[in-house]
Amino acid sequence: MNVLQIQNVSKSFGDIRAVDDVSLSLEQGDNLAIIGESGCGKTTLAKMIMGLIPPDEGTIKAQANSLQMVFQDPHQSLDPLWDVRAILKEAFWRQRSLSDQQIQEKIEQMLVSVGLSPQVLQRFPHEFSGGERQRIAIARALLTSPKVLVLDEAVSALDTLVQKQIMDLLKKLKQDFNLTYVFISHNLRLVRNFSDKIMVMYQGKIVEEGLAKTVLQSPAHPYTQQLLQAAFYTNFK
Amino acid sequence: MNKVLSIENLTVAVGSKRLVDQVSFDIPQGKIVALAGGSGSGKTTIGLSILRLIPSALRIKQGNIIFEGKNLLDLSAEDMRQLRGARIGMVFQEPLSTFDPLFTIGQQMDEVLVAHTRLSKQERYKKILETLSEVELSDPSRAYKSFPHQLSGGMRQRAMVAQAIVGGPSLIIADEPTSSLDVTLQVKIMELFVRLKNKNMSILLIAHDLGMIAQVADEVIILSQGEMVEKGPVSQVINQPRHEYTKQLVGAFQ
Amino acid sequence: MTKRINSSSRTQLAFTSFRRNRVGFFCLWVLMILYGLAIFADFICPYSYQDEDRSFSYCPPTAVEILDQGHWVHPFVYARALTFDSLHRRIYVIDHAQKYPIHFLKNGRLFTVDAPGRFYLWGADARGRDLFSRIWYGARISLSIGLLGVAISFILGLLIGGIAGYYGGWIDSVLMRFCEMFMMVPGFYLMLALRAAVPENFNSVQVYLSVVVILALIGWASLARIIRGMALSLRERDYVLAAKTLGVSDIAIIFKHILPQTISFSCATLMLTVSSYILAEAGLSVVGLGVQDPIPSWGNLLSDAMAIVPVIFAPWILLPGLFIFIAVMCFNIVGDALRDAFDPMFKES
Repeated sequence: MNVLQIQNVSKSFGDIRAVDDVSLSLEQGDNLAIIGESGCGKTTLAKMIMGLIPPDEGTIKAQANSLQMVFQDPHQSLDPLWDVRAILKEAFWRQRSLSDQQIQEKIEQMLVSVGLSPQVLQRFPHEFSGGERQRIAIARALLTSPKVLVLDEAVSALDTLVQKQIMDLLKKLKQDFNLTYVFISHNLRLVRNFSDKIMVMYQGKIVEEGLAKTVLQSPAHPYTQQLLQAAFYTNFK
Repeated sequence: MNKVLSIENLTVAVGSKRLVDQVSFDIPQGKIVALAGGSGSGKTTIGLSILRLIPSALRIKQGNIIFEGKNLLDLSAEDMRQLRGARIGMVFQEPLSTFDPLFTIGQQMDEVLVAHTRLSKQERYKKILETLSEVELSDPSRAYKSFPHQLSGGMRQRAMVAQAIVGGPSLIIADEPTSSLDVTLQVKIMELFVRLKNKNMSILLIAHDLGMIAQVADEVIILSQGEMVEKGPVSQVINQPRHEYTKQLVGAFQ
Repeated sequence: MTKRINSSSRTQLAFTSFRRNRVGFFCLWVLMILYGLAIFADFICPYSYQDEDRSFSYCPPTAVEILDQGHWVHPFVYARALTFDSLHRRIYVIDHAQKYPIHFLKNGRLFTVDAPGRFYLWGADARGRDLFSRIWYGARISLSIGLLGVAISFILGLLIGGIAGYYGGWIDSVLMRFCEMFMMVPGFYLMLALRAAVPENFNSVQVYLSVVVILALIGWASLARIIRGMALSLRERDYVLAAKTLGVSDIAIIFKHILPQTISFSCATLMLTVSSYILAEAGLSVVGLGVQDPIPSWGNLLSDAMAIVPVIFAPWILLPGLFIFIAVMCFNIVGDALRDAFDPMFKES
């Protein structure tokens, strides 16, 4: 089943073409990685997918409210003045018909799924480590029962050990909740053993796309080759 | 092989909690030594302790920091100020907050030379341009005139390394120098460090990415909760990790 | 779980930090004492603010006697009689024969003396009214006007600044031009102009409320600009974007995510605004445009002190100025301390 359809989307900021004629199609259960470095347009693309900014050209089709996003900086994606309970309750903004009891139950179940104890509810974001905050952010996103999760550099700000823990968690959650992922990163190494398909972006355009196995073993485009070498530290010393 | 830096039984605490507990290691001349660990491991505190720039709430309870034959903990604040920039250079994670946004790169590097050398204005300008091209900034004179925000992330980080080495130090302390950069830029900075090392400069690399450390460093010290859990040549520690925590770190990047 | 400080919000952390600033904390206590004395003026003052006795015009402060011929006695005051010396200057002669004991907690007041004796702790004004009493009744006006004015300014500033900053674009432009109209006119002149618009037949309560509204109108614009600036940067934060993806309405985002962040930083500005409003009211009252006699405010008490003769011969009538100074200083210091407490960059020594 098709959950996201992007056709010939472009977006410019002044003279700069941040996203240039990008198309992609996502089926339920896909795990797509969009790889590119700063300035390649991946974050702009993510915001357009989420409906936060409109494209200049092209169309984006998805079921309403079926997409959620996890942001890069765990220090900034949770309101520092709100406690965790309030942060998670906000996810129910569109589900007005639920009672407080039902909301509480769902929140507690979700906390278990992301590996946090119910005691976190009274605490404030600054009391948690980066990895814990991302778990809270993931929980918040999943409480809306989305079909697609857009992860914008969701682990880039974390330590390598914690990165691995969160990636493992994401794998498990994908199975548990039958999710579709759009995993955005600048690091190819992270998506090995994680994503099925890879799309490489450079200066707003897609320069390569294909099955993860193929792209990682025999990259066609020189930029992909460069990224691969950098990610796997194969070209110096 | 003489030792540029020698840390003996360093212990740093805030109140009764030890952030760094009995850490000892040496940095030989012309080698890259890495401190690896997650957040809370104490690695940044060690770097700051060497520079004597730890926050006032922290206390160095025990230990010696011998740099070029002198114990840094015995030096006065004025002597330490002379040392920083001239003998020990620093590279931090976020160049945007280290560079003053109101002054050009050239002006800020000039400050270092004015403070620590007696070179004339032309000699300083020449030295700065040399250093900027050494860090592979393609247009050194343009970089000289640029403000920090006018440079891209990778160029800024290279400029930061330039500022660290322009005074001709024998030791550079780099704390997460590539964490805010994309992968291809990380490679460039690492290549730069290797080139510096080959010119007989010593580098203390503080990082959490064991994969990057494996490619660049000669020796690595694994820290967990302020304690040294493993220490040794990089290939040995990575290929034959003994401690549980080391194994976890190695597993995370394989 | 790793790093756990304690389960307190940033506001609580900031107030802990504020308490450590001793000077700021002390000034806060001084302010609370001033407000407390103003609230309980009926109790602590021996006289009402209108109680006059012209035979005691400009009487100097009455000394409290506790010794009578070498023995400790219940506190009392001597009677005084007015005479004029050869140069027609007022002299109050103490009559040692006539003693008036000070009664404590009588008639619902902390201390009083029986008529016809008069007890002027801090001296009398031209009409023989007790300055001590008038200062504390006047405190009610001067201290409350600042707070009420700031409350209205704050609400206006939050709403207009929050909406302008969050939406940006033409809404921002229009609202900010509106703000600038108020900021263009120098405060004191704007105040006079607005005061001239107040009808002549307003009673004292209506005049009081008019002054409150006038003060609020001169100060809201700069507050709105500050909040608008904060809102402009806050709306880019990831947690605001996250709320948008969750479908939260704009109004809810403004009130629940953006404005709460501005309040903590606004606190400091608010304190400083209160002090400027106290001064503004004093300025209005000194020229006779604030609340009118017989209702005292520190400002109109000072208008008595505008002539040189009384100031030389009855210097105690300058006391209201001292209290204005204390109140303004304390609000300023507390405002600075609050700003430091909320500033994430501020490092405590």
